[in-house]
Amino acid sequence: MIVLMMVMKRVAVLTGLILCSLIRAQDMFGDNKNSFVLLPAEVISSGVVSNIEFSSNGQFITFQRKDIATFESSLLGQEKPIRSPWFRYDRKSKTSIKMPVPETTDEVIALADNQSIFFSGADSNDPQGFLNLRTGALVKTTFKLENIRYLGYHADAPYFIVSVNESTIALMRPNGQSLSIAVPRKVQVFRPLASDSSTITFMAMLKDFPSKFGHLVYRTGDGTSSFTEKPREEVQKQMQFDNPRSKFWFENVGDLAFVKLMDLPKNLKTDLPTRAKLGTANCNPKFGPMSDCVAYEDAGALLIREIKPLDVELARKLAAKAAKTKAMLDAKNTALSLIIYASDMDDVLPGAEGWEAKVKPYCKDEALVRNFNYTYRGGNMASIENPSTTELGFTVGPGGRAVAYCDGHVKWIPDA
Amino acid sequence: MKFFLTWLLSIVLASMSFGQVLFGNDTNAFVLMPAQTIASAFTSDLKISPSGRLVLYRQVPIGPPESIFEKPNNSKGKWLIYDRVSKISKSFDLPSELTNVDFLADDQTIFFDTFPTNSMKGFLNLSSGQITLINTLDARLIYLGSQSYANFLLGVSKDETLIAFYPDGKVRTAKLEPKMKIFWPIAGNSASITFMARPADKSGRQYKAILNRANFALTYSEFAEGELDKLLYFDIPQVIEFNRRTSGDTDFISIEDDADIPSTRVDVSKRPTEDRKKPSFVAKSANLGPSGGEVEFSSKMDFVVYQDSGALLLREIKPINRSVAEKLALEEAKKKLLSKAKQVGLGFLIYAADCDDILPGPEGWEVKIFPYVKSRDLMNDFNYTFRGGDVNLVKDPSSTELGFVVGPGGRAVVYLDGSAKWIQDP
Repeated sequence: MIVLMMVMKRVAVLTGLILCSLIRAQDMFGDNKNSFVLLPAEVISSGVVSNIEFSSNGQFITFQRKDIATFESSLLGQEKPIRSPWFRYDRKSKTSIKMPVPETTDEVIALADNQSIFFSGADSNDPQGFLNLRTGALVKTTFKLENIRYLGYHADAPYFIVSVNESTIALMRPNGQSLSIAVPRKVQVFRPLASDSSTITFMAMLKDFPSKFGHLVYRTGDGTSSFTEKPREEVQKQMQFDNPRSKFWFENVGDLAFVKLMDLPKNLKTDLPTRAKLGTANCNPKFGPMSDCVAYEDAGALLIREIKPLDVELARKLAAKAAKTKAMLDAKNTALSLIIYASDMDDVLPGAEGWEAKVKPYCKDEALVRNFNYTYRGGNMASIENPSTTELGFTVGPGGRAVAYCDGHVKWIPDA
Repeated sequence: MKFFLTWLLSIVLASMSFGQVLFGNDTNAFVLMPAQTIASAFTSDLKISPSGRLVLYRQVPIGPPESIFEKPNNSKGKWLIYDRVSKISKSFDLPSELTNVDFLADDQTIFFDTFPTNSMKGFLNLSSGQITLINTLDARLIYLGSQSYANFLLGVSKDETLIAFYPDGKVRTAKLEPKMKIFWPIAGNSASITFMARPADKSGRQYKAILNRANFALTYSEFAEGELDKLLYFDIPQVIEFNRRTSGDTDFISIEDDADIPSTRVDVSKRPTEDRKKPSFVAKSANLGPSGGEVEFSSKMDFVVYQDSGALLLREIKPINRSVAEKLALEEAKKKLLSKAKQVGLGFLIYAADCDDILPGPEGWEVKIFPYVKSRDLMNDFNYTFRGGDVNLVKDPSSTELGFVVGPGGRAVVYLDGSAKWIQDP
């Protein structure tokens, strides 16, 4: 038996089983009102990608990429730390270009005009400044800005924020224009949250006892600001998530990462899957600002999957259909494995006891064997009078059974 | 209060940490290298050429959302071949209704057929683009695999004749022994191909049938003790076999039948050696990716090509010095423990910030800290050693121990200022 198993691995037999990998109910997720599908993945980049970030309109993705060779030499400790180049991927043209930022760049912030990025290195001597992606012009800052607060796509701001000290925040534009904002006493300012033409809203904390959380709204017109208390949970959520307005979030379960709706109730009762498999845990998913896609790392490579809405009723129908088709395929694959096993064993089918272990080597997916109910008593196949009506076994599906017969064909039998 | 901000900078683990890509057994260690992308979704029918240079696949464009639940419409797809040297995919003019496509040993010829309809079978020459159709009648076809060096296809016809089909349309035959049942080819070289055979007398004895490739004569003999094992394992020198297994929602690669590995992993096969129990931090397997896709290893087992969410990726498998791997894996284990200690430590500091800078005493701290850590697993491993009380009264927070997590040969200690350090056991 073991010998046969070894042999099976080596030889590709042309009359093999046809696997259908496209019955993908696992790509669907939602709740009772909304459902979505994760479309198959498109590749963006090979290598060891890090620091994935969307532009505010979702069209561009900036990322840093280390060579695979560099990764290998760093693994073997043969490399002095070198910095990796930065790239920008355009979702419209599906091409990546290398961004002409200085080699020392450790951080890149895409501004909301979708044309400017701010670059900065970790060392105090590293150059810092703006790169205009349309013209390629580099404008370096004259002095080193520190404590840069991220003002990403969710803030819709064509500038970014520099915290100068505890009492002032500076606001910097790509043309070098800057603005100072006085922070009210006892208020600690965190991340900028949103902005429009006349206001900028920050997440903030009032250093009182007990401390209060809320928003600090700054009015650009008259330069005044005010603190509004918000529920602590709300501010915490805004702190935790890149884009609190996003429809989607992810969770890691075991070794895998799943995509789900952002505010999914814990004990939701639904007949639809609530989460869809994305990739491995630690794949650092980033959702597009328009909640239409997710970009993530896959063994270092950068992939993107579109997220499309799907009518709930249609989703229900498709899920049931997919489950039925899957049961049919599973039953067929297991039946074929049994038949191939028999053809190797002088046409003798296994008995009810220990049949799983015997068939396993012939079946790539052992869950199929587990879910299959083997009902044939075993024995020589040649002695079966009517193979097409003699039941070999079945796999249970939604509202019925996928019954496999001794000639290898499968029929759907609805529950009575 | 100042601690609140630190909390935001939560510990992010890199997706390509060394620990996740190292794997091995007692004698060997390997690195599963970062992924190279070959093609976007939706790909299928993945095959690697015998030399390992070319990767053949079919690509179907991504349809509307509903279409992912349907069977792929392969007639809309195209056949492509990726060259690992130029890193470019080229499309080939093969009929799209094909169901079986594979390389012959010369890396230049592709065999194709339309199982199960049997309406078309033939060879495509990749350099000339020429297609030669063949008629195999009722023969059961056997593909010899990349280790056989065979530039032809074999078939067993109903009248027990072994037939070799050549790409130029030529045919050679060998009569099979009637009392002998011939099975899979198990090994091959430029002079011969060895099949497994069993006599019809049901004695259960294992025979080998050797096909002489020069004169096409078959000779039978019983396997000597251990010979079959040797053939299966050692005919390709210096190659270690990796394997893959699927279970339910997840996929993994292993040779041990009952290995309980919870996702797609590449595993090194366990040769029959005596059991030596040495503590090792190198994992037996490495994560390849989520399940549900096709996985193919190159014949030299030096890379693996796999399908992930429909996209096609390639990862090299490189051998690495066993002791170097052990050192790297140990470093990685320490790093993980340090991050663990740090995370729980931060929970304490945030708690203190909320409670007038007072840390809890040794009793009942778990209940108080839980809302700030939110992970029983993390807390269970943590030993809280600080006596409790006002943080501001501590003179030197950076050297005052808050607690620790025990690890291999040492402890990951977190201090009152939130920093963590590895302390080797004396």
